[in-house]
Amino acid sequence: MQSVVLTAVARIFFTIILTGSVWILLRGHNEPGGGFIGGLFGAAAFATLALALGVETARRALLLHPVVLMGIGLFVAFASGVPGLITDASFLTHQWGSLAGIKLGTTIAFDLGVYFVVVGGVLSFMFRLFAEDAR
Amino acid sequence: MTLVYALTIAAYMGCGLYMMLSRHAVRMILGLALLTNGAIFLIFFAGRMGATSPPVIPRGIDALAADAANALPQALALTAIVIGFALTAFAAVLALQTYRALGTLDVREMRAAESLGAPDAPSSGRVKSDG
Amino acid sequence: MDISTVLLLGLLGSIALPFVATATGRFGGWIAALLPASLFVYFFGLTGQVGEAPIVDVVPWVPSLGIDLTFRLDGFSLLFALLITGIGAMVTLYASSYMERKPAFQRAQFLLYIFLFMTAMLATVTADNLVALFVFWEMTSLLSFLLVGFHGEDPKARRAALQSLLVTAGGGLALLAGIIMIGVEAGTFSLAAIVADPAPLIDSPLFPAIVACVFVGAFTKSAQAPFHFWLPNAMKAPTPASAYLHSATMVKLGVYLLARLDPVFGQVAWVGATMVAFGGATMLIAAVQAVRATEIKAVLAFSTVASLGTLVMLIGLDGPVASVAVVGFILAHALYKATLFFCAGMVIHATGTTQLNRLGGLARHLPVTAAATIIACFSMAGLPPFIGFISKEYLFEAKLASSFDAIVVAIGVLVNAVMVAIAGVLALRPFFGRARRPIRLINRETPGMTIGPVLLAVTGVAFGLMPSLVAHALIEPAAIAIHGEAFEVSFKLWHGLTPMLALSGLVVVLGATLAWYWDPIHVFLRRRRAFDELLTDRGYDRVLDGTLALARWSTRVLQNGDLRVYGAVIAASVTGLVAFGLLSGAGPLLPDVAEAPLRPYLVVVCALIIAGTIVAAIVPSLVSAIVAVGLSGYGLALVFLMNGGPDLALTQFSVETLFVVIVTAVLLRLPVVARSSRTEGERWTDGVIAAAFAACVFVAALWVAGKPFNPELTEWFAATSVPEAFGRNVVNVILVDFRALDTFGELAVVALAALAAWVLLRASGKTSRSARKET
Repeated sequence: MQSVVLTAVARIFFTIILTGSVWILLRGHNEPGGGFIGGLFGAAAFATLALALGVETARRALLLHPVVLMGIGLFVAFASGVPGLITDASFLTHQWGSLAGIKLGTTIAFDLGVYFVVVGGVLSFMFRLFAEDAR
Repeated sequence: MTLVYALTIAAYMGCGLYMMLSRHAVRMILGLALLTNGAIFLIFFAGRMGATSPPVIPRGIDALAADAANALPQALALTAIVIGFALTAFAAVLALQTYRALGTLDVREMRAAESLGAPDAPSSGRVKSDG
Repeated sequence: MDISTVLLLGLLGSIALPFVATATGRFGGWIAALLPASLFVYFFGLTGQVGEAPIVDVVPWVPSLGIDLTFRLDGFSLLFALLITGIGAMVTLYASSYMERKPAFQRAQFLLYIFLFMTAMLATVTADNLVALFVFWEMTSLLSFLLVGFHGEDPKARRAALQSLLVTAGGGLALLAGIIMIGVEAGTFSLAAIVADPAPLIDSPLFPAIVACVFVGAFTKSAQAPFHFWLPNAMKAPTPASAYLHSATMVKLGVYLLARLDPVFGQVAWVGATMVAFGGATMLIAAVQAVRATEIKAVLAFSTVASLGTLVMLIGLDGPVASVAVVGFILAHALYKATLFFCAGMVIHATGTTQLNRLGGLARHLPVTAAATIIACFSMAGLPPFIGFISKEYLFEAKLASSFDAIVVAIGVLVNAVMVAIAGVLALRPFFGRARRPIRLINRETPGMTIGPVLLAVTGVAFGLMPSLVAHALIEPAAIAIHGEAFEVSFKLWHGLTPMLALSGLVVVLGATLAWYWDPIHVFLRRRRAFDELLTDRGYDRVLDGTLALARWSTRVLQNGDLRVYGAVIAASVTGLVAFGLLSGAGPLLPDVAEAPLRPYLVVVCALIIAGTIVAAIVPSLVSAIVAVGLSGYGLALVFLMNGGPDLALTQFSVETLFVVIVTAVLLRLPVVARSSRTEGERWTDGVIAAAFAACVFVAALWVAGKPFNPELTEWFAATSVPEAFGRNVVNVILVDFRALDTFGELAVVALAALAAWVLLRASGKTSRSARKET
């Protein structure tokens, strides 16, 4: 797409939406939000970038191959359940601890895994779909 | 209001089914999407709609207010929406590739399996008995 | 030794011995014959014991269903067991010589089938539990199929084998239904118990159905009209198999079952009359067909059918003499028919031809065969002093004593006259007649082949001259077993000048006349095409073709490759079932739903959703359809938002957006299809199905809302979300903490779907380029 306006503001949009998606991810445990919604927003961010500046730019912004990202997400989600196996003898029983007064737990790791899987999954075929444009 | 919701679900399911019976691949996918939405609405509806405040516990209190919405069907529906989306996306890509491979979107013309013929052909020259 | 142990040993021997025997060369047949011979000796040794009281052996199998392997040896079973094993030994010797020139593996295979059949037959006649009896019954059908189709390269043999299997196994299904009904009504599957107390069966309303099912099973097995056609066709089997299965043993199983159930069935008058009717019809049909037949084995097969008809008719008659007649006839018939089949086999083996009118003058070349045939034919004709004569006397006595008198006697006289004529023709023509063309001899008689028929023929004479040999030991216990109560049994050669003797004389005279004028009568009957239509297996062909045509038609209609038809059928079936369930329930159609107050904003939103779905369904343009679907999805998200589901609303908004984006992207790469893919009529049909489905969903949804709601789980999640999971967004806590494993599975599903879509698009580059090159 050769719209000048879109090209100019695409990166700004991208940053805003991506930050928004991360914020939604992090607040999910206590306010409406969470890994799924954050992931969808994050995928939307990259999709905007791809539409405006081309798939190659978006791929480079993603740093990793989408499928690799998906795999990492699955692994992180799986790994977040292992501490539960060690302590409580039950997979995916989330463990909690305190770090400088903030309660942290393996739930955030699980949600992060969800985030990665959704972003990677949606982008994997979306990039391919957009890449074969205008033939 | 329950009647209105039930009517909406019925409209979703009916129109979705109608579109799924089409022979055009893309229309079938749209029908699938409608059916999925209808099913998700049904799940949410089964959890008793009516409450308007979200199931988020305010700071300082330990339990959810009694008039908050039902959280469990929301969790189920959320899962269903995401999986439905993945499935629909896959179906759309499949339709695209089918067109590219077979050159047609009409399922009547996708008959590669039928061209193999029927398993029983009437045998020529029946064997008779004697006596 | 227990009966079950003996049977098990027999089974093991059946599997092992054929291969051992054929490996040992010339005396293989004699070695193989040791199995049936030893079984014969075992059963013979039990003769006296069985006369006192039946021997019972119980092996538990499925106690909870009342099925066990109970083996009960009484007089009737003992008679059958001796016939099976004795004739089995003869058949083994005969087969080894008959198939001398065949490859060793084929001989071993044949003996394997014969021995397995023998074991199955023994198990059937000694089984007391009806379900066990049925299992062994079907095993004999299966082995008969294998034996009839032994020469599998011949399409006629294959067809005959399939026919025999379909008819007998089909009857077996009916028999199974009957047995299950008997078990349910009588409360037990044990034959002995049922016979001892038949009242619950007779009084039950299912009694006619039970009788009908058992009749179908027995009639198909014993080749009664209208199921008689498979037996002559089964003559495609090698002659030793024909002699064993289709004359002496297997086809008598139906008769065996009917005789066993006679104490129960015989108490109801119409059952006996039905048996007499079917038996009589079978006798007449078989007699006509026997005169029309041209091949030796076909003539013998039809005479077997007539004899089976006689047996069924005898069982239908009342009175203790009928029981004696049945037992006597079974014994006599087995002895002479097996002999005749053996001799026919030797004639075929020697001359290579089966046509009766081409044979002649064989007495010089096959003297032993001729002698055995003549003896057996005398027995078949019912001439003294053969055992056939004694059994015929009792036959006529039973008929005269019964309450049916004149017509059964008339049928009996007529059919027996035909039997006499057949006996005369078979005895005289091939051996002493003049052949039209000179015959070349291929093989000679061998001891292995002649010992069987000679022994059986001599036994027939011996039993005829000295019936006391068998009267007390064998005939009496058997007759008492099937009659149900003890009575005085006499089995003598000479009874004095009785009406039966006069009838026998009449039969012989009629038969001799018939034999004299055999040729013209044979030709006359043969020319009548009507008999071909009515009496042969045309009906079977029609039924088989009709079934296949029905299958083809239904496949063409229901599974014709059109995806829409599949979808429509499924949708219509589901809708029909749900509608049936909703409409057939007691109570009102629509439930009582607590009406929630109307919220105008949401009513508008829902109206928009409904409008969107209808537009999407109707509009021809796909882009418009996508927009309409997206609109409905957004409306749904608004509904979620206004009903306390912000997470859900956010997700639905995002997903709907992405959905529209992706499908539009796909649509841009597809061509525009001008016309609709469905005809007007099809659209109406689909509309009706969809509307019906929507109505069912509407009612079902209302019922869901009308049910009492159990908030237990919701309250538990709400209460423990903060204390145990340290989260305030209950939905997210459920997803990520309480039901994390489910979410993990869902992640896997999403990953898989995305991966599949990604892989599908991988090949896009090459495919589209090559497609472009072609267009």
